[in-house]
Amino acid sequence: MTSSYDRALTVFSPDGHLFQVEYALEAVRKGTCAVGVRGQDCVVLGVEKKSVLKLQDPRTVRKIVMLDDHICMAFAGLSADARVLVNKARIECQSYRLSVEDPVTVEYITRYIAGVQQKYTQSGGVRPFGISTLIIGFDPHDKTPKLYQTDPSGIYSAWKANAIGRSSKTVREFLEKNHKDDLSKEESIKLTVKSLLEVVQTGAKNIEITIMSAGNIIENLKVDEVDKIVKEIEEEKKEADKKKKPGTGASIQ
Amino acid sequence: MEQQSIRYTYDSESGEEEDTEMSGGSPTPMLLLSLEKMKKIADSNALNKKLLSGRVLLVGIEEGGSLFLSSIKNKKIIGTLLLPGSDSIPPDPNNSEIISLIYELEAAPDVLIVFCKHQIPTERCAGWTKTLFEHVDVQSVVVFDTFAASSYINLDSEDHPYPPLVRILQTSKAASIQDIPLYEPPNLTRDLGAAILSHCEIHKIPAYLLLSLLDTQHGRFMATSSTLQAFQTAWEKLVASHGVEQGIDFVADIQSIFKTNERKNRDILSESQSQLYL
Repeated sequence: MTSSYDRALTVFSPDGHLFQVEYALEAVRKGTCAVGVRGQDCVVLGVEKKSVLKLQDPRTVRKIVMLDDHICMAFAGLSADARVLVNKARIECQSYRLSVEDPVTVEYITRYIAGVQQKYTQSGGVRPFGISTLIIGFDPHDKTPKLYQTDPSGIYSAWKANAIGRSSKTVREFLEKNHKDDLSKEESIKLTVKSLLEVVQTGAKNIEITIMSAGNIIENLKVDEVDKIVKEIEEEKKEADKKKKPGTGASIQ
Repeated sequence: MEQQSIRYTYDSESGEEEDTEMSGGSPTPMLLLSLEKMKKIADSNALNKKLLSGRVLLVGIEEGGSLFLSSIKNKKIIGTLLLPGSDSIPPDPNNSEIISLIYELEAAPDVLIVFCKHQIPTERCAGWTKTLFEHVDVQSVVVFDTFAASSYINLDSEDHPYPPLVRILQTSKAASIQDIPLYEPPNLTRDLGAAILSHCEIHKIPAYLLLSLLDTQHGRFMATSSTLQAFQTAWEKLVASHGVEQGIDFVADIQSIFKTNERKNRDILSESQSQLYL
């Protein structure tokens, strides 16, 4: 049945599916995991990095990009589609600045990106963007952190914490259990790293963390800093396991 | 009636063929050792015991497992497990279709390594395993095998599994490793991995079967650096828990040998990584 309705983007199936959009969501799941966590006064983005090839310049393979001084974005899915969408968003940010003499709000640029993604689900001869995005930032003259997500269908919404890409369901379930309101900066960072460790088996060398605080302060944690946090988490886990098991530590399976 | 007689005719013919084969016996695998090794065994007056003995036997199965073990440096060939149907004696080492090479580590001769790159037919796995363990006496066994996402059932999560992902199975004599998730039911392991683990369970040999998820590229299942990375991570966790009672006693030089091969593994397979998706 699907074979008749999945080749053309602009054709609904009898049961109301746009299969190309749904296939685009599958492309998103092939990308590595990206997590966003909103704290009380900061917002954190964490991504699972792919190892770069031996002769490749790692600075040119990025999963977290800046859209403007105060807005940051992570994506999951087709990297070439992401590049095109990021370029459109950056131009829109600057165009807005020049026209209105104010930086964009996070919601505005999210709506713009989602609008572009939606446009590509309703035109002939094109295909949807195969990426979902997590957009973080602070509105001008506002200290409230913001986290938004868009997907290939053009849907966008605000989140306290979310994950996209592969194994995102597992990570989202972890976030649902462990997230609480008014997280401090350290707690937000730790929660982001912990949630990524649920799916990243190779440790700190494949994790990248970006923190945005009020006043456009952006920090990219170095590998040894992430490693330190990973080690702290592992120690805490060992302590928690020791407390659970009584006596010599024999476990019943 | 005519259809029945035709069917019975075919049945009786096929039955005769089967009887002939069974009465003749399927050819069993043969173990061939190098002259140097035979000389050592003769010198040590150990001819009455099993030909090869060691502390640890590492077995690499098919593409992923054998690739991981084949990257170990400083090992030397001491023998061959010749598979049925082969007429080549001495065996041609370039023909991986018919032989499973047996190595020992030069730094630690009591560590034996066996890997075969081609798939052993299901009906031959028991014979292969039996022949190997008839001539090899080890205290513990670690098997490296792979599995595909299409055959993996994870009841706890709806997420599609992606490499690097590793699971473990072990015999009842082996200590449980908490850091490596179990290859949970209803998933079943099969062929050579299952045969070796069953043999070890019956003969009370501590054994682990490490299963790493194969990657999917261009519609094919293949072992990539992510598959080997999962083996590496699982190996380190296995080594880290060596102090557990009734566990496997690994020595530090095995660790260092695998560590030096980490970069080589990455170099060999990094070209196959796709950055189409980030």
